[in-house]
Amino acid sequence: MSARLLAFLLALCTASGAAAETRVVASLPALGAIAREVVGDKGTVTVLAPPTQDPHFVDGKPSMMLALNRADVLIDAGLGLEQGWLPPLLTGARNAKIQPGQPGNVDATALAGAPLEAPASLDRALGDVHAGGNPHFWYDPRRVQQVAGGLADRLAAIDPANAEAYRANAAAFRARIEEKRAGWEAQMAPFRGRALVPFHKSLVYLEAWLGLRELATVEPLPGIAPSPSHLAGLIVQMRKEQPPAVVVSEPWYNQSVARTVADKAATQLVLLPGDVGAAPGTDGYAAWMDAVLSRLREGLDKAR
Amino acid sequence: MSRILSTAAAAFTLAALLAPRAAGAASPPAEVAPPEGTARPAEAATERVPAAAPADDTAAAQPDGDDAERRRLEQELAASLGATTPPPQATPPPAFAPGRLLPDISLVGSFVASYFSDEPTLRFPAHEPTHRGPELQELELALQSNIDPHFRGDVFLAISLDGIEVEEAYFTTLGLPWNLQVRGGAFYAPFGRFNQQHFLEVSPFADMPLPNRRFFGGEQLRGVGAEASVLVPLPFFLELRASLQTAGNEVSFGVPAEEIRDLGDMLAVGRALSSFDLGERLTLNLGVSAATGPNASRASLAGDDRTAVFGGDLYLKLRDESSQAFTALQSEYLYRRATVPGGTLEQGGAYAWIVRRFSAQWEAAVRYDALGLPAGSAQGAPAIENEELAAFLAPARQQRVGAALTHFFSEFSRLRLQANYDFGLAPPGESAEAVAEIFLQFQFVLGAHGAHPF
Repeated sequence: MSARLLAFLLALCTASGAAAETRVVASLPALGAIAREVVGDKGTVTVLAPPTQDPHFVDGKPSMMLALNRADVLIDAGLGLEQGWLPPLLTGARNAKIQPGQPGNVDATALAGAPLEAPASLDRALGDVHAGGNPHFWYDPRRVQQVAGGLADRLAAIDPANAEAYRANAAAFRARIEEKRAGWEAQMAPFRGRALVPFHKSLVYLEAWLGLRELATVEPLPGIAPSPSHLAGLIVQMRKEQPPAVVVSEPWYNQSVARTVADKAATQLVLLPGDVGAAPGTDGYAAWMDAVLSRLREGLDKAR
Repeated sequence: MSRILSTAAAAFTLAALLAPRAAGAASPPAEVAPPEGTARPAEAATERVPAAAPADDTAAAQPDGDDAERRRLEQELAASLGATTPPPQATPPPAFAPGRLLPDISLVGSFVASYFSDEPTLRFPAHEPTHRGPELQELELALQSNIDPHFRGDVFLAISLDGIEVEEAYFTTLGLPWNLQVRGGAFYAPFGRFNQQHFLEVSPFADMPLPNRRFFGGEQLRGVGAEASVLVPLPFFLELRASLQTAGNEVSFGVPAEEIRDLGDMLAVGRALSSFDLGERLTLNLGVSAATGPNASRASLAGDDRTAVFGGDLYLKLRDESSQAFTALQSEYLYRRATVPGGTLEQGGAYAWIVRRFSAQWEAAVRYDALGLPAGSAQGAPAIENEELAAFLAPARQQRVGAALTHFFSEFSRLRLQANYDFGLAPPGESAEAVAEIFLQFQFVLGAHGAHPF
């Protein structure tokens, strides 16, 4: 009886390890969108975090360990963004291939160029700061292009049989984004120099890319809830801004606070869609960026 | 009582009012580190991103000449375009790079001020509130890191006013074949849900549930040994664990000899945990556990008395669509059977709590826990010769209700107000003295504390 059970379990183990296609797990939907483009039909991509959740505070559910257990490659944002939920899953996954330092562990921010806002000094009095810099890089398509290229190289090393396919997929994706980017930059050109008030410091890459200014954030410091005195100061500061700054919030931040600030400062609230796939019609990276920028343009336009 | 209550309430209000202001008074992040490329043409910003995608982590830094030219161009453009923000500073790599080579180091401090209307019911002085007035529950010093590509290490030292003790210190394998994993060292026995948690950090209450306190004591069920576990390759999550540890528990388990004579003198624990996603937002964890080992109920050495504890646990969590809010139900049932000189003792116990996290800042929880079920029945004529253990092994009934409200100033600090009504602990059939309990607990985290499992 027990011998048969053992044989059954062993068969299951080998069966689950024998599939030919590359299994990629992405911690966040934006990374999954990049991976899907690069992997193409040479493998599968599983995304752990739902697109509607704050990437800092995802529930690291046991079922995610199953996906990680079977993965050939894990791509995460890094810089401590997933620090609150991913490490116990990685340990519980019992998968040597995707542990930190292994070829199957891909740190996207390490591929995306020098991170912005690497703090010169670290102190939690400055809020929940990321020691290595700001991890929200996917708001800059140029960095996304680089990650696609880096991921293709990594996949090519892990699965040499399909190396050409990964590189060709990445090149095609990068070319498509390059073309879209020219349009995005042209659409946003009239708003260069305009000011944003994001809820969290998650838009620095978008601002740097498009020449937008960050007047302040709704949170006084990363991860610290705004007090009325901070909000009052912020609203006074915003009322002096001409043309008006717009409040920009991802869906997981306190919408009523964001709405109140926008109303009191007589300006617009731009609700971003969340991560890739959170809103209808934002299933690919380019479609998602289209939605982000069209919502931003609409708000900036109205707040003149 | 009313004086303590009002002082507690005043402290609570004061702290709630002060903390956000204090945080708000610090300089806003926009001034601390101006984002690079602010108010700069997109063309100039383009140069920030290296043209070639680095294929690995050894991305070559740009030559110094390029950097200097870029800075010069940047200043020129900023001046000609009338930028008001200062040019971005090249961030020098910090001389002390945290997290490099040093393990994650953190300190979790838990302080409580308590009020009891009467003598609190039986407990070991450990990390629970035990008397009126302020107490240091625990300073937990955690050191966590990968040891090498094969192992991860986790060390938790519990520091109290009486000294320092090893709460847990273990290694975990990272990539054994066949989905196996081995842990070795000193660790909480893989029994149930509550027992494996550092409850001061993750429980919504400042104290322990009654069955865990009575069956495993203030230090919970733990020992030195090894554990093997396997993630069973099924379409759903099923994890099996088995451990063999020293049986030096305060209450239910203990070696009645000078040293371990054979494997039967060790504590053996087995556990199965399953988890199901019932839709995107709802997750159900179900677990069963069993523990068996010797007990030290005999006054003389060389006894063969044994204890077995069985448990079932349930955790149901409903996460809100897109905020940190959630609602969770956690419940466990424990059953203990102990042979002692002259007979057998039986005791059951259970707890259930519901916690509602309203937002990142607020949480409320209610709890019911009880001993009984069965109400501590005895067979034969049991006589516990070890007097210290007798009070904890003897059949008893107890019921308690509690509620707690927690305010999180940030992810790293929180203040909790908890009230319990304990109907009292007594042998079956006897009447008990009720006790009202009020706790005001403050907790903080310094440094990089590792994430807790779901």
